[in-house]
Amino acid sequence: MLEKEIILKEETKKEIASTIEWSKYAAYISIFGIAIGLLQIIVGLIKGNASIFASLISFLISSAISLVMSINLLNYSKLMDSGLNNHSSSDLSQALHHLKTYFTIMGVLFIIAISLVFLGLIISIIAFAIS
Amino acid sequence: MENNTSILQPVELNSVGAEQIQSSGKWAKFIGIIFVALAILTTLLFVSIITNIDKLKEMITEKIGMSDLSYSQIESFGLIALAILYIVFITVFVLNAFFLIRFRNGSENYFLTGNEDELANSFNNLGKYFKISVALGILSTIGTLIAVVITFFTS
Repeated sequence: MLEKEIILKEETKKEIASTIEWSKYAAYISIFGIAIGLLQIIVGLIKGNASIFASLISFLISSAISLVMSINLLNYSKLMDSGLNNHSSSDLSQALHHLKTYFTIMGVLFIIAISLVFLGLIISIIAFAIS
Repeated sequence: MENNTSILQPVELNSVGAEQIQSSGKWAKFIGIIFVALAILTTLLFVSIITNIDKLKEMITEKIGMSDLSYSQIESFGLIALAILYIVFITVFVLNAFFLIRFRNGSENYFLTGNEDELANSFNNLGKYFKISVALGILSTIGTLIAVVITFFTS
């Protein structure tokens, strides 16, 4: 852990400003994607899609995760912007905390996905061995 | 006026913020390594499909009851589609991995050497990663929108 405070140079601030802009766009696109997904569910309901219940459950889980990740990205964008404009190191720290949360959620999701794949593989091998 | 103040006043990153960057970097590198593994798995899958194309042909023609002529007609189209899909997936996985790992390496080098160019470079790579995320998000949303329209007007 660093003991002294770091004074950011203009070049670094410029690069951070770019991440502020693009992380905001990424969050908006993700939220718009959730809205489109909801539209897909509604169309499925209207058309009497047989697997609509499974689609709904899958949509609710994925939307909740996407929403939490998007909120973290938006908070990163907002607090980083405020930190740079108001010279607030507290805002910068909070912004980076949201960035860390965003990556942590993504990392944990990957770990869960890999675990499920391995579990499926083990079950398949056992099932194959029994049969 | 505000811009002049912005130039004159320094923006400071405290030790808590520095630790958050390091922690983000560790997760980013982990995700990057997973993307590399996915790229390798995708390549293995693609190679195994290409090398077993004759067995695949037998399976499709026998199990689905498709004639050799019909199979030949769709074979080239199928292979081109498969190659395009492979290139898209590999590009996405490799670029994501590249930028995420460079984000981590840049921040780590900065905390080791104190060279602020490394920190700027680190955020530059993070920005590029977000740009790819935006591009993928747009493509995915367009795809879903097309699926919604097709479902609405056909089924």
